[in-house]
Amino acid sequence: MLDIKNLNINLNTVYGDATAVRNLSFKLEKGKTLGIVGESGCGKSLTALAVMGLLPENSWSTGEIIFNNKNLLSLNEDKLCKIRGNSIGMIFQEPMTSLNPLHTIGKQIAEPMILHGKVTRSMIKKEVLNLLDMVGIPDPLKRISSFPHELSGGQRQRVMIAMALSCKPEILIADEPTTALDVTIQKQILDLIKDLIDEFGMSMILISHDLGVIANNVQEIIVMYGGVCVEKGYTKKLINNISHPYSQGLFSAIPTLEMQEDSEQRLKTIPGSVPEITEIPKGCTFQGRCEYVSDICVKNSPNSVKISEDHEAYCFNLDKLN
Amino acid sequence: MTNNETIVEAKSLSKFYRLPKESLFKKPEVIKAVNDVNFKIIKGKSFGVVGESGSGKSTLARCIMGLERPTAGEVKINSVDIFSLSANELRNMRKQFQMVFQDPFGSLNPRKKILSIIAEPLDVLEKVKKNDRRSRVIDTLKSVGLKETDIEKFPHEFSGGQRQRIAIARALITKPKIIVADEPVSALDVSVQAQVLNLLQDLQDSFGVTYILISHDLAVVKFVCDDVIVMNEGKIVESGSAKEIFTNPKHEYTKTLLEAVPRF
Amino acid sequence: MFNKKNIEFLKRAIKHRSFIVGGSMTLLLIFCAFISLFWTPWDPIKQNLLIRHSPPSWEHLLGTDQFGRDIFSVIMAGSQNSISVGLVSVSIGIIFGVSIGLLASTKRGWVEELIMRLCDFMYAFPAILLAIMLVATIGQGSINAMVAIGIFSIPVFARLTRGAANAIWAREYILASRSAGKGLFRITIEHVLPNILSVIIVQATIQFALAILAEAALSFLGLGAQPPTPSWGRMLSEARSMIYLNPWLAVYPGIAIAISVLGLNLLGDGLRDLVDPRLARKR
Repeated sequence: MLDIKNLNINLNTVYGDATAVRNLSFKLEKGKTLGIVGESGCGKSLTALAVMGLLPENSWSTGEIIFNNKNLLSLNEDKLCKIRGNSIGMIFQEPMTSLNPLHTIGKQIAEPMILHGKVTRSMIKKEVLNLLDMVGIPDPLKRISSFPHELSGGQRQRVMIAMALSCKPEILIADEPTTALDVTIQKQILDLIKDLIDEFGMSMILISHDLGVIANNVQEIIVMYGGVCVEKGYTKKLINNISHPYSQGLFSAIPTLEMQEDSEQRLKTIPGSVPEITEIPKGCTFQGRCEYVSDICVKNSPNSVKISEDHEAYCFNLDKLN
Repeated sequence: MTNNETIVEAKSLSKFYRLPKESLFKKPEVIKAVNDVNFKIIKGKSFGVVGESGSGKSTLARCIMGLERPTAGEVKINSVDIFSLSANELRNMRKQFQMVFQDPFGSLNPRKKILSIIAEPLDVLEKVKKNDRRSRVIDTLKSVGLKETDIEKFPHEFSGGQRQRIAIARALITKPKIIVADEPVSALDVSVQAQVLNLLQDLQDSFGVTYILISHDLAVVKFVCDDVIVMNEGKIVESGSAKEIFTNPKHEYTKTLLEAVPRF
Repeated sequence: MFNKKNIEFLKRAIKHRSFIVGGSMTLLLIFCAFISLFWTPWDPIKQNLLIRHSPPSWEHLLGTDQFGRDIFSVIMAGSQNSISVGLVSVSIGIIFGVSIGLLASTKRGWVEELIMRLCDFMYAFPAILLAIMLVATIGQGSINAMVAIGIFSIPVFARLTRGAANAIWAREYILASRSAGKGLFRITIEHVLPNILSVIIVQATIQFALAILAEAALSFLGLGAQPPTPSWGRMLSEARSMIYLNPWLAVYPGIAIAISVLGLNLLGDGLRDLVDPRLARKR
């Protein structure tokens, strides 16, 4: 349903031009969920914005984003507006700044529905109450006239979800939807999103830096580093056989609750730090921090290597690794 | 380090904030950020404070650092109540406890060179000669894994992880006995977090510092700490050894917290 | 200090249109004032009634006024007056305003409240009215005008400083400094002040322009520089009675004032953009 082919996103920054996303391709089928995981500057949020046609002004993109047989990158603003919020909904990271503080939440939830002509005037209030009830906001009749600052962070994120779902979109894009929230609230919100996806049969792209969040909530994972996909595969297959050196490093660098109690124990680390977006090297983007790096990694970009059915990694040295 | 000497003790510590009055005739609302908290920290061990936002854990850290005066109760460091000291005595005491902050971008003055950032506690707390000052900064910088040449640079020339190393070096320079770390890795990229956590452990091995680690991340606390308290709405809901709390939580809240952590 | 950051700054400065235009206009003003200290085409004070109201010529570039003085020379000499008024009053404003603002943001509590309410009180009067009142009490004259204008810019700097300083006080490196044991005074001097300096400099250029305007207004009313000191404001006021006979008398000092004020304002805008690129409007 959504087919991204060779997507490149270039940014024009104060420090010069930079390619923030390189040759990214993936497919999202109806009713499926896909997670993009990566650290800051890996291009995951820009990818989401590109799908929404909301890239910042200092950027340009090439490639194709095919949605229902239309290339979103070639559509004009008017046509994009018809898709945005209607067929593709988005939830942002910061629920405080993504709601307008001057309008009641009822009005804000109703807005996309009115905009896309989904409901008749007389039905609006009922629809909004339905949505509020659906996302688990207690006492919707009272809350409909509340302002964003009167709600807690978790409730605001629920309102954002209600807004994103109001037009029953085919795809939901959630960009770090729980990063600003506490763990207990995070679990509630993720469970809610999961339930609603199932109920409506929507597809979802979930974006997060948190491997735990991604691994628990999607069917397919893309690991990004330095603007490229380094590994992708079905969640179970990928988690059980993490193959790319970066993904391996990332997964073992996180302390987990399952780790054995032992005061001498150390975490495995990836040396160095995430490169600035203007300093991403040619060839393999992970070369500067990789312990298996060889000459070919500097010269060429690695091609996809199939590890098993529905699981591939982009690395020249996979045989050395295992 | 094996003797169980208490280095920090909080006795019925409370900090209340008064909210601005909503109307002229109502009594102002009071927030009990820290409410009757008691604990003892053993020398050379790592002490974890776990809680969600609004649990009062950061206020607790500031009280222990003597940055905020508690509404009631005592904070004893080496059996001395720090709030009974004069400003000068407290300043002398500060050599023994330093702090590392959450945001490595906000906690370093962008206009100062690394040399003067790291030397700041030294300048205030000890009278050192210029050469000594420089060599001590370099030594500390090396112990956190940075280079001698870095002292002439400015903070913006470093990545987040490196900045946090600089912040740790600043806390280490007076050779403190206690370091309070308020969410030291939560602003860092995942792949860099591990480097900083390992560094904290290495430094404990070589300098024998006592950590007070404040974090919302249960796995991080479990990795670093020996003893843990779990806070909720200003109160301690559970305390004990890290092993006990994470494998066999007693309190409902601790259980919910543990269950909520995503696993893979 | 020619490190990377400063070179970056210079590069952006050269490309910034209003910074360059405003900067050159301001430089022209300073240059005029400086030259006139040593040399003007004619003596700006000496009257020569034989050549009253002569039109522009090669001898008298802008012609002469009703007392036969060379207008070009008077304008050049008048820039001295404008600049010294600007310098003195802005210095008064910065010295007192910044200290008061820093005091308010360091002490907080009732001190801050009191200082800010006093500033509000001063704001309640139109600035020029306040200056007139002050001059009326302390007497007229160049120096008094400078003091009066300086006093009315104190609350401007005080408010600005307090706001900017409060933002700095909320930073973690201040907390780090406090936990290192540094006193409030040293933190203010070492951390807060350097970080708000740029904001103060930007405001100073704009305040400089306002001071020139205010001085012109005071002199126009006869409350500023006294004759025979050349002053643009007084030139305007003297031209008033001649407005039908020789309107150019009023136009020249008007243009001089406009150029200086516009130049300083452009410079201030440019500096503001350069100091904080995030606030810059998209161009």
